[in-house]
Amino acid sequence: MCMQPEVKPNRRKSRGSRKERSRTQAPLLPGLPDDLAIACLIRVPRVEHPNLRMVCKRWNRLLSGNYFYSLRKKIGVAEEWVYVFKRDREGKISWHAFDPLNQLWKSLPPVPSEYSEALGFGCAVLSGCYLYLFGGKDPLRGSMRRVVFYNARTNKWHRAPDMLRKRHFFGSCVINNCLYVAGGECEGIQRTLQSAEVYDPNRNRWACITEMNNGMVPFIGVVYDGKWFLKGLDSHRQVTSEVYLPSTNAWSTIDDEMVTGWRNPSISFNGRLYSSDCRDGCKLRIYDDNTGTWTRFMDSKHHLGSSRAFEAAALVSLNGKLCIIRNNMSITLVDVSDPTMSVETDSARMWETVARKGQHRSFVANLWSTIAGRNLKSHIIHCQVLQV
Amino acid sequence: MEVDKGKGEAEETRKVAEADRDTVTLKSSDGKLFEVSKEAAARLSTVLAGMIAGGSIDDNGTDLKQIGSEALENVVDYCNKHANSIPSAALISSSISFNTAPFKEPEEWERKFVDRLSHDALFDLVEAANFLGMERLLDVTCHKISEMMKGKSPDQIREVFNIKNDYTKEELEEIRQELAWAFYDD
Repeated sequence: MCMQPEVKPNRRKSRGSRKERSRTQAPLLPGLPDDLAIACLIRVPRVEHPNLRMVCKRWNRLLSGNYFYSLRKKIGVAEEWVYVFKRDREGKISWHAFDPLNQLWKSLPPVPSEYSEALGFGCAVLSGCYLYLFGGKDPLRGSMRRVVFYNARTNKWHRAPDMLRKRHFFGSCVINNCLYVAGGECEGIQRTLQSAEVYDPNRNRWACITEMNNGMVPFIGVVYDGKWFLKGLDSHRQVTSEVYLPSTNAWSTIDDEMVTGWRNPSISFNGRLYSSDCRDGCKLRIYDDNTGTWTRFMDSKHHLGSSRAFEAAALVSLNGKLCIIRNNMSITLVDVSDPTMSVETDSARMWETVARKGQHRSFVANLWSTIAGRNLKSHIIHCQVLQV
Repeated sequence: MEVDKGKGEAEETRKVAEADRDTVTLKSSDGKLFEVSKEAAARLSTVLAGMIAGGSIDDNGTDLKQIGSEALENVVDYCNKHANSIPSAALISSSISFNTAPFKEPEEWERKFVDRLSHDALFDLVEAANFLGMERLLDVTCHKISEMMKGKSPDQIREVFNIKNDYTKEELEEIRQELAWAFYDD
């Protein structure tokens, strides 16, 4: 029901009809030339955009096109929202967006049905506003080649070309706005996968890259210093690490202090590598290139707890700050230039309000959460930031 | 620099021209004269800066036929307030880098300045700022108009800005469905 493949062809309008329209159509804002009306409209916060689109057809057209959003970006008013994918205890995937400006959680159109219960799928952002889901394992149909993406500007899902290979529990990353995937598993094949491929959105196609030295089911990955680092388990369930250099299209195995001391969640932020140093993310470590060691970066001295609810699920970059997101949907923002200035957002409390509302809709869900305890209900599987 | 703090009132009688004045006289479309600090005008308006540098300033009042007296009074008022309230070094850097620099929130006095304007005066000021190449004033006025859309329903926005609803009932329902997910939390 929710797949909305991009089927609308760009109907070419004749020069005459466009001219006709501009002569007859009402101004965007009566009293102002259109270019100045647009200068006003692009400054309206993102949370109001659905309302603006319902004002009139011209506003809707304006807010459906890339021009509007490229102007927002140009004058520095584009807003970043956090997007969170969760899996509930029945295995169902849901996703939600957090607006940091208004401290509000927003509901989103359902994920495409292939992903409603998928396991081990990838998630990445290209061009700042397109969120991709790819591969993974559907409980009924098995491993997938499938690729879909969500356009945060239009609030719609679309299909993209399938990957060359079916895979799940693989690693993925974005380098130079190209999407890389490597390793993982594929149903029906005993070995873990060594193969890797890349998707270039400009060419709109997947291509193979060099295979890894060993098959691997990665459990952590990061792009740091222009290289893609992956750590995971090989066919013999042994920990193995490899690093990929895009410029030479070559993998090499690696076993230094960086990969051995590297823990989930981690992030490469402003060119430096950070890693959680406590389950709830109250402490962070940073990797020092010169000495080849991990050192303490931040200690908020505010340990939240070691339960799964407080577990730091992801580190992302949000509005120039390092952002820690936990399973209970709490978000802490850390200013890396002054880590003592970390800010706890109101996200967890706002989330509870949203979650409670959702529970009222379903008595069963409410009952379950009472029995199981609210916090055990679900955990975060992917976290991304999209700019609009 | 000593700045003439003209309050922007119309000055029907022109002051005696001095060889090296530190103000310029501007003439609105309806013939009213306003005096503004030359330094502030050159700093805040690319168009006035060009005219001052190019010597096309008329001591009898430089004709600005596109700008009515109310809007011009506000422009002059803004220039004088600006000259008084912000260190010029910070201002120069912000006006130079405006096009690529991220938007800077209006300052308190700028907020007050646009808040007291009527709907029409605000719109006229947007056009005047645009015509005179006053990036910061354009920024502040457009921001104010955008704020007038916040927290309003489509109906309220149409009413405030006098926009005709050109959706049919069915079309509006269709688009409401399409956007339904975004309204979930309301």
